[in-house]
Amino acid sequence: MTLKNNGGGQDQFQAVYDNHAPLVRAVLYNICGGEHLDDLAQETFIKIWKGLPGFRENANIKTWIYRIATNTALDWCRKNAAAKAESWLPDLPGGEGGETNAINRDIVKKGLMRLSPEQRAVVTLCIFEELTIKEAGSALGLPEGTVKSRLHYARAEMGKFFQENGVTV
Amino acid sequence: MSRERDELDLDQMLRHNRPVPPPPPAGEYTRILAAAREETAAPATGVFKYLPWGLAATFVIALAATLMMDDGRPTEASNARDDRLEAFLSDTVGEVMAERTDQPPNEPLNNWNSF
Repeated sequence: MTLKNNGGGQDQFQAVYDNHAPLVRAVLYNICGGEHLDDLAQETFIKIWKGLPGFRENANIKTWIYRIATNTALDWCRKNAAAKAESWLPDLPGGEGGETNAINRDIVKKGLMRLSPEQRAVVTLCIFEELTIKEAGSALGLPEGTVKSRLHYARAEMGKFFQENGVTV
Repeated sequence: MSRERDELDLDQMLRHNRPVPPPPPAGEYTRILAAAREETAAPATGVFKYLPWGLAATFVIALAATLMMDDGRPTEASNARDDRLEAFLSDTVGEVMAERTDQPPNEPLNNWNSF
């Protein structure tokens, strides 16, 4: 996607919102849960609005948006360390896969709750959003080795949790 | 190899069952746009709001600094400097005057009477 800033920026902003709102909400939801999702989405898009005039056209907008969304989510988690991500809303009924998937999703949510916000961010970007280690490192502002290490510990923790709950992967 | 296989299976399971966020509330874009505009307009108002206070504080600090520096009277340092200057001037003027009184009166440059 190419962006051209004409000073006004509302058209560009709307294009960014239309193309990336689901991505932003998914990242925020998987890291922070659902209780403050709308507020965090607003905060993220305000940051995008402010940063859009200075955004370089040749940069990768998706990585940039991932970075803003994960930073917003992690900042919120740091400020609200006491509030664990226990506020995930139940998935909407009638979603893909029926009851079995709803149970599995519930277990995945519970597994995610056992991770630190930083590990949830890595799982979100590398597994759910299917970014490469390099892209995730760029979005999180971390070296690739740190991303790999966090991903390794997150996988181990999730695997252990599934084993404890009799879930076969 | 087995570990990589396990990781792939785990990733696939997680991806397949990832939590799905609720859809955005109706009118989210309009609300976000309004909030973004309000927020970007706010800093300018904030700066100008504090401008008179800033100017007043600067004036008071400058005034206080001036009063503290000379307290409205010449300082000891400036007195000493004035004394030295006065002594120098009176010495110089005295020397010049003395030289002038020692010299014979000037003769006219062109003595036309000699012709």
